[in-house]
This record gives sequence, C-alpha cells and structure tokens, in this order.
Amino acid sequence: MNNLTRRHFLKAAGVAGLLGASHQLFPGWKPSIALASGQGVSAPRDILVNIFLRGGMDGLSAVVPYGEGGQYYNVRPTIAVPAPDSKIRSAVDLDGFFGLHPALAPLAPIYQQKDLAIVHASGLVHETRSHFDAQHFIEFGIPGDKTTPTGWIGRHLSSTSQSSDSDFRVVGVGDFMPDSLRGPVTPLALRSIADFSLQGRADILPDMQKMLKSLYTASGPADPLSQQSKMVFEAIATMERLAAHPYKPAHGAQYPEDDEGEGFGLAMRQVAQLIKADIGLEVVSLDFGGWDTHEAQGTMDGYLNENLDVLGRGLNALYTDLGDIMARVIIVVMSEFGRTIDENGSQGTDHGHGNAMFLLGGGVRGGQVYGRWPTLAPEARDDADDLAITTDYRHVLAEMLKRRLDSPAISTIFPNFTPKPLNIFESR
Amino acid sequence: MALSRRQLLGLQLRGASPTTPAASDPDIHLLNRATWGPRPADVAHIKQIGRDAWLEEQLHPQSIDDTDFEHLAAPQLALFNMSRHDLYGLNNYYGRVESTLIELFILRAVHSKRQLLERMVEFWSDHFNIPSGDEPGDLIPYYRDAIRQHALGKFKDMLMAVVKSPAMLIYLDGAYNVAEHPNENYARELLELHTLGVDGGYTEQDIREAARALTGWTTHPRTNNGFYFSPEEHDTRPKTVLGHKMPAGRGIEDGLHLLMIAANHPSTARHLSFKLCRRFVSDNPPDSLVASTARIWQQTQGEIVPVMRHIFSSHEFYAATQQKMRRPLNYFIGALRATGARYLRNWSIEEIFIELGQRPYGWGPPNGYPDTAEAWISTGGLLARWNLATFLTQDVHFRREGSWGWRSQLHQRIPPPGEPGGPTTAGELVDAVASEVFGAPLSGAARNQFVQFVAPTGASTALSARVFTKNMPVLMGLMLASPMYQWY
Repeated sequence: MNNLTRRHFLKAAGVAGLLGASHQLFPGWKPSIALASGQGVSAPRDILVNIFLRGGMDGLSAVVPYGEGGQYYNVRPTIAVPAPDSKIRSAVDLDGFFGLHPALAPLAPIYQQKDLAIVHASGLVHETRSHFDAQHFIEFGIPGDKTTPTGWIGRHLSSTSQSSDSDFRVVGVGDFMPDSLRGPVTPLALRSIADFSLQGRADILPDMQKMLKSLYTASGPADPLSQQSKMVFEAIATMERLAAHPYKPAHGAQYPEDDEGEGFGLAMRQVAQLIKADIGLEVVSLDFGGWDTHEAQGTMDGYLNENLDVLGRGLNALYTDLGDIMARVIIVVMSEFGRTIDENGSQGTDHGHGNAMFLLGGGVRGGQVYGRWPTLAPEARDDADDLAITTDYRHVLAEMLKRRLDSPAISTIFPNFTPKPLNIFESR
Repeated sequence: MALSRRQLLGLQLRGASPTTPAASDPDIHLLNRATWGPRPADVAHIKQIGRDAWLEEQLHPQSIDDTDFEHLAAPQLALFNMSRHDLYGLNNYYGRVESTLIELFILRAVHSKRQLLERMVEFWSDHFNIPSGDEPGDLIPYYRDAIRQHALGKFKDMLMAVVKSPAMLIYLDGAYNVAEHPNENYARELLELHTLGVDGGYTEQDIREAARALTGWTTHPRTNNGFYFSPEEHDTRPKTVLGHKMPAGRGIEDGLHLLMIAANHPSTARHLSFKLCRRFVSDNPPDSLVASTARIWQQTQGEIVPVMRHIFSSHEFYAATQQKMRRPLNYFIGALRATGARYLRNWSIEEIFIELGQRPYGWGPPNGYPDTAEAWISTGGLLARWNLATFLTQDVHFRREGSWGWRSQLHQRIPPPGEPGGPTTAGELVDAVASEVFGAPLSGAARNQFVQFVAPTGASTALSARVFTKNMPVLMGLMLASPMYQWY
C-alpha cells in the first residue's frame, strides 16, 4: 500500500520534473512570474472577490441597529447584541446608530480606514423565503426567472473586453461552482490550491500524466473535454508552483485556522495567493455556509458568533495581506436573505428578507452605512415579520460593475432593471 | 453557432478519434445506455439471447432473478422496505434514512441485474426530484412507492403518487395551498417541470386555476399514504384549466381532473419524450425520434415500457453512439462496476461526491440534476474523475486525509500471465482491461496508444509478471480516465 500524499510525492519524485523550466528560470520564485499578466496597474478593472454566505445571515446581529432601542431589544429578548458599552463585550459603534457584532470587530479598523461600506436593509426584492429560490434569483441575477442559464458574473465576463486569455479569469473556490459564474467564460473550479494535483503512485505518475495528455490531445480540439484537459494541466502546473513554496502572508496578516468556519480562512488565504500570483484573475467567487440559525443562534457565543468571528478575521486577514493591492480589489459579501426581526420560540430566527451587504476595497467610499433605514417598527416591516428591503442588491452590484469593473452592459447583466447608484464606489 | 458542438463532436468521433467498442457494436451501445456500464457477463448474455430478448428481460425486471443483490443489500433493503409508520418511529432516523438511501442507490446500480430499472429510477428521480434534507422520513416512501413502483409503469400513476406524497406536498408547498391563501408553487412546477413543460402552452392564469384545483390536498400522519384531502380548505368555486371547465361545488375531483388533463396533454407527451430521448439518446435528440416517441406515448397514454422499447429499437438511437457524457455518478458507478472496488466504509464517500460535484438526492431545486454535457464539464470535475480512477485502481488514498474506503479487486478480474485466462502479451493485457472497462477490446488508434504505453515494441510483446503487475491497474485507471470513457 502506498500512502502517498502529494507532498510526499513532491519530495520523493523531485520537484523539477513536474515544475519544469519555469521554476529553474526563476530560482527566487516571485509571484509576479505570470502565465498571462492581465492585472497590472493598467488593468481596466478591479479584481472581484464575491463571497456568498449561504443559509441566510442574520444581518440584525451582524450590523446591529442598537439605536432602535426597545424596537430591537424587546423583540429579541435572548439574542440581541448589547449596545456599545466600554465595560462589557458589546457592539462596536459605527455611526451612533449601528454597531458591528463584537465578533466582527476586525472589520472596524477597515471601516475607519473608509475601505469598508455597509448597505443595510438591502437584498432580493422577491417574496420567496426558499433558500434555493432566493440563491437562484440572486446568483442568476434575475428575480423570479429560473430559465436564464447564465449568472450575473458570467454575463459580466462575457460582456466585457477580455483583458487576458488566462485560464484563471474566473475561479470558483469551494465544493460547488457558484451559479453566479455560469456563462461562456469557463470558470476554473478549485477546491484547494494544495489539492489541485494529479494523484497517483510516485513511480508512475509522470508516465500517467504524459499518457493522459496524449489521450486528451488525440481526442481532438472539437471535444470540449480536450479544452478542459488543457486547463486542468495548466492549473495543475500553476497550483504545483504555488503550493511548492510555503505561502507567507504579508503585513502580519493572520488567517483563521483551517478547521474553523468550513475552511473560510484557508479559502481567503488562497484568494490572496491567487491574486498575488498575477495569473490573470478577474473574479473569484466562494461560499461560506452555515448561517441558517433557526435555533440557539446565540449572541456572544454560539455558532452565529463563531461564524461571524471567522468571517471578520478572514476578511481582515485578506485585507491586511493584500495591502496596497486592495486599491484594485473589490470584496462583496452577501447572503440570500436576512432573518425575521423577532426572535422565534427556539432562540433563533427564521427566514426573512432585508439584510446587510458588505463592500471592501480601495474603490469603496467606506466608513458609512448606506441605504434608507426602514426601522423595525411594526408598520414599517415587510410581511409583518421582516426588515423591509429599501435597496435592491442589484443597485449596489450595478454601480460596482460600472464604476470598478468597467462594465459596458449593465442592461445585459441585469435585464429589465433600472439601476440607481448610491455613490458607494469611486470611479476608476 | 452554425455548427453545434454535437455536430463537431459527431464528426470528430466518427473521424480521427480513437474508437470504442460501442461505436461498432450495437449490443454494447445498448448496454452502455440501458445499464450502469457493461460487464463482460452482460456482453456474453446479450450476445447469447440477442438484443431484443435482452431488452424484453430488462423491460420486465420481475422476470430477472436478483437474489444475489438482495442478499448483498439485505440490511439496507430491510430499512428501505419499512412502513411509513415505522420509519417515522426510527431511532436516529436522519442519518440512517439518508445514508441507507445513498448506500442502496450505489448497491443497486452496481450489483442489481435489473439494470434498466435502475436507470429508469434515476431518470424519474431527476424528473420528480426531491433532495434529501428536511423530511427524511418521507423520502423513502416517496422514492419507493411513487418513483420506483412506477418507473416502468404508467406515467399517470406515477404522477398521482407523486402529487399525493407528503414529501412532494411539503417540498413544493402543496400542503400549504388552501382556498384562502392559494400557494402556486406546486401548480407551477406541475405544469412547468412535471408535465407540459415550460413551452407547453399554459398561461399564468392556468397556473392560478390549477393551484385552486389542488387546494386542500395536504398531509396527515394517520392516513395510509400520508395524503389527506381537507374539504374545508378546498376552493369550491368553478375553474377553467387549459381550456377544461371544472364546475362549482366539487372537492378532490378538481385535483384528480387536473392531473388527468395534465397527464394526457399532448405537450406532456412531447415534453417527456424529449426528456427521455435526451437522457437515453443524445443531448440534442433528433426531432424525428422525439416525434415518433411522443406518438407512442399518446397511443399508450404514457405507458413507459412501450415508449422505452420504441426508443431502444429506433435507428436514431443506434446512430447516436458516444454522444452522451457520463454524469459524475454514472462515471463513479461505471468505475465501480469495472474495477469491482468494494465499498468498505461510508465516510469517504461524501468526499467523493463533493469532488465529483454530484451526490445522490443532493440537488436542491425541483428540476433535478442537469442532463447535458455542458452542465458537467469543469476543470475541477475532470481532475476529480482522473483522481477517482487512480484511487479505485492503485491503492492510493483519495485525499490527503487518507479517506480509505475502497479496495481494488482487480486481480480477481484479470489473472496474471501464466494463470488460466491470464494475458500473455501486451496486446492481450490491453484487450483484457478494455473488456472490463468498455465491455470489449478497443480497436485502431485507441488500442494502439495503450499498447504503446505497456510495450513500445508492440502488441505481441511477451508479458512478464513484473510488467503485468505494474501496468494492469494503471491501464485500467487510464482507460477510466480517458476521454473515450467520459463519452458513452
């Protein structure tokens, strides 16, 4: 039995054979040795990091409207986050009305740097409370429509000028390819940089790889698998190159450990690695699950707190690690819907509507909570239970696409929709 | 797009591409599509009794003795056959119900001799998809009594069982569809997905009226099948659905009437015929075949056996070799059948599903896992197939963490040189491995590529025990990983 891991293999078989000339040509290995250099300073658009919180994140715990007083605290007797108070663990004040959940404290300095904006009471304007439908509508970008086969990011990529022919224009990190990426520009599906490798016994792996290449070449350019196989081999080579050198985050950035938050910390770290590798990346999308807090969601402890902790530290680490590069990176964090205003019978919350979106980046006019706040008053609620949505999420994305991602075709990306900018983003 | 991918692919597969046995042997083409992967024994059997007789056996699964499988899967079958009442009372029912369903799916696909039945169950499970999750205790009765029971029966019986099942009533909100607040979720999917199809000629008004016809259809734990019609929740006003008038004052008759209208609608015949041809013939099936299949469907009022007999006997079917790409689970099951790898522990299997991107009962939306190649082609997915092939043939761990759950049985399949039936030359080795994977030896350039891999000196090169031991598992892994195996 050969208990061979990829790392053992790299040691055993010798790195040079697989990594080939590029490694020898660049002995000092710098991330800038690009396969296809698409994102230099003159790149026409920011790199988009799209983070989807699956399950319905409780925006009223993440960005606490403590200024509502009793309208917030009375209806959430066991799960409300305390108003900012220097003596106890409590919300981190943003603007005298909203505060961040204390687990999101790592985002506070970014907010103060004006690189983080929040849009509250935002989301999908549709009556559905189904996870699947809401995710579908948001990711495909057309509320109520289930027949359009392309996602909003997919349509963006196919409607903009191509900045490079890199295989890494669009990368999905995670178990499943997010639907937002569906479209003619083939996304590279990547669970982990370290695992994107061809496995097998060391003594036969090089021969196997050669044989696979030859089998897929023989099957001809008309076989779409032939194209895919070329991407696989290029990605394997690139990932081997990236994984062969221990990645050191810059500026003392500390990513949450691997086993927390379903690998979100690792994913963030890999996003930084991919961005710094300068391999033509334009969009990277990833999922963070586990937000469906129907029972015992907790306040200062419990699993909502843990998720927020990993989210806050992960975003902070990516922001810190990228440093100046954040000037041309936009991070969007959203979820399919918010949760009911009132706490339910099991110290949790049920599927609701309005939620908070987070936007990070050098091009963000941060340090503000955007959107008209509808209040939690009974008469202001949507459907009696929910935070009303005063900002359709597409207004935010459309403005971002236009001002930061050089999109010429908003009406193709969000058909039958008239975007109204909230002036959250600087024009490039 | 003047020239579609399929046309290009067709040209290319008939031209320069290496050929597989299915391209020249209609028996193997039929086995490819009507089973989860041809075993040498299947090939021998179909050769012996002929395609027509083989198809008749498979279309009448009760005629096939399946006791070997039933012994193998006895523990899973015991749970699968429990009554609804007992399932509700199960201890630890979440984990058990779901893992039993998944194990049984694998065991049946790999080991049951009623292979076409299993392919049909797969088709209908996609068509009437309900993901495992919220109500696992309802899932087994659903997939057993509604889907499997009618998979080779009458469409209208299946439809009726589906609509009345608690799993579907809850999944698509039928149970909450009441006169005062009609919920259109199920009515929409009934017309759009389950019967007429999105272009089937219905209107938004038809959906609203159909929803009203189904008001009061709900669940009750005490009834036999979990279905209960609640007269007080039913909208008794008159309705018009798809041009049919429903008089005022009726009860459950409205819903029954609606289902008969939908089941017998010509758009349903067309929609279901298209889907069956897409699944079993090609991603873009010929119009002629869809039309002739729809005629059989209408003549028989949706009897599935004659419809499948028609498809599997058509010249369009036999012209469409290697036009389907194996979906991940089809790939996985096919590789299990080829390698004889034994399922040892269940915890590594989730890892495999995740890597491949498909999990039994794992598709959330009601439309079922996609059927066409375009939906499944991805870099990560292709790499996962290659690594799975290696994992099942070479005794390496599937992932870094060492999810050790499978052990190859290759040496029981192909004996070494010197033993009876063992290959003695490089060519014989390649042919023996190909027979396990493709059902018969490869020919032409494809065979030659693998022969060269084993012995640059050619097919007649004598095979040493050392070369056999080193190459046999690798060959099988490579054949499973090859493009010829992805297309079938």
